[in-house]
Amino acid sequence: MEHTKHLWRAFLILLVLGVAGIFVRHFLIPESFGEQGFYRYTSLGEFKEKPVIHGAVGSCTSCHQEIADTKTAGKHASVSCEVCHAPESVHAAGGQKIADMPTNPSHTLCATCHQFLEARPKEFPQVDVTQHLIDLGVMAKGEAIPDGACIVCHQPHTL
Amino acid sequence: MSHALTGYLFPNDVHILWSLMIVMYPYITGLVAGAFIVSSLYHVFGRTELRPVARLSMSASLAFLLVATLPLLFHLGHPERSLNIVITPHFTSAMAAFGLIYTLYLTLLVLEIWLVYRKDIILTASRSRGLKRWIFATMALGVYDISEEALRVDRRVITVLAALGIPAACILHGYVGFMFGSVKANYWWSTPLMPVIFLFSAVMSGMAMVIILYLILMRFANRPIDPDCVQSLARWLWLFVVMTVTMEMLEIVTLAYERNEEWVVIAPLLNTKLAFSFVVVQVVFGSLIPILLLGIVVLMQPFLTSPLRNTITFIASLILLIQVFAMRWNVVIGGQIFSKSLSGFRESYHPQLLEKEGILSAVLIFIVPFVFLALFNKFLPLYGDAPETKAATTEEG
Repeated sequence: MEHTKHLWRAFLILLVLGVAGIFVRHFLIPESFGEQGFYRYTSLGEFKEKPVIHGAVGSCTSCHQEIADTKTAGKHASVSCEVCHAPESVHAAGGQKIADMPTNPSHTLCATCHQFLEARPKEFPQVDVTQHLIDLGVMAKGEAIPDGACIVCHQPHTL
Repeated sequence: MSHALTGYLFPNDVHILWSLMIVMYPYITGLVAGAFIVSSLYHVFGRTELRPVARLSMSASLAFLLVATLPLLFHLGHPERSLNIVITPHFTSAMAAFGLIYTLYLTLLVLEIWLVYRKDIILTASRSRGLKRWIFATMALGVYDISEEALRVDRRVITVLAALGIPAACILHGYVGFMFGSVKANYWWSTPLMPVIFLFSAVMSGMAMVIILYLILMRFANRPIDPDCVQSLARWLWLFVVMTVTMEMLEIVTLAYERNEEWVVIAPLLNTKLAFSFVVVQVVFGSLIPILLLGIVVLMQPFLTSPLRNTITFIASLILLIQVFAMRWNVVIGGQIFSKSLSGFRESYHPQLLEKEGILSAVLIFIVPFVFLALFNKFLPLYGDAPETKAATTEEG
């Protein structure tokens, strides 16, 4: 085993690095990792601490049942209120109104779902928004689409 | 937007998320594996004519390995989170195997390079002074034993490491191919042949890169080019090109002949979206021309002068580097252009020059290994034919 000193030293270095790696890994693994599954268990508590932004449908219907009834009869029944309106947290807190609910009159909101796309199922109502407004004489070619262009004719709650 | 998509696409099929960086990743990893195989042909299989490139190929392999993860880090929105996959790998995830495979291969490669260069390191340490001496003495681990016996032991260990390195290199790149081959929802990727094709084209690209580096390095160092070495590399390269292209074509022919449901989308994919990058670049320009050129070099050896053979081999190698890049592109991007509903296409992918995962980033990442090699060459020669280094890598080594 003469003349192998350098190899033993290299082996020792690798061994030290390997052990150091295992040691460092031990400290890098988050404390509650693996407690209830392959994730950091305490992250659930952290998520719970975060303020609630969206209130879901129930939080709206507790005050606006009549609008909910109208909407339920229409085609947008399955679209949640906060999809088009702002999240509940900007409007109400602890069951009390804190500010007016902002409205978004831009056509881009409607176009998110209804702009014509080849990829959408054919039976889904969709339209080339710009061409549609030109055809109706609402605007000329090259002009910007005015705010509120869609809701002049289409009422999202009663549709 | 309305013209960007044709046919029916699932809602989550609209974007190409695996970008140019994910093309670069298998490309660079392939160069790592391929360059290593060249060095193994010498160290394990005793192809003594490849001795002039034995060191270069190993160093090139390391240089590319060091940047192999860069494209992935550029791709991630939170690169710092990449460590999580190494710290807590989930063994049902193919990607999680990466940390283990990469570390294993890096260790093997560094050890082997260290042993190959040990004599040079010791000689440099004993010749220099000050900081340089200290650095080289540290690299020698304080042992200055270059007796014939010690070097013989080194050679034996090098052979073992190089032999272990072959499966390691195959796993390193086979795993990259597996990453695509195991996506069962994607017909363009999901084939058991995919890891094998990736592996063979990796060897091909690595060999081509070693040829190019060797010829350029010799030109700049003003040293004679070893015609037997280049001839042998050309012959090996030819073999690997023929095998790789055969498998690439076999895959398409099988798809075309079987005409299973996926052919409905694969055929138009090849005819339209990938017409240029697959048919023109990968198959006609990238495969047929190098097969012909290398065939000329190999079969007409007695009738051609060695400078002419070197030039033809150089050109064929350059084309093959483009071919392999095109292959990676066609796999990665091609697999995302069509919808998994099989009835629609999205717009082709055009990377921007300046975006994070764009062309400039890709070029910069690709330049880094060459900078590493140039720096390496400043301290330890990439060509191993200096008289005093002969003993370190002998024929049987």
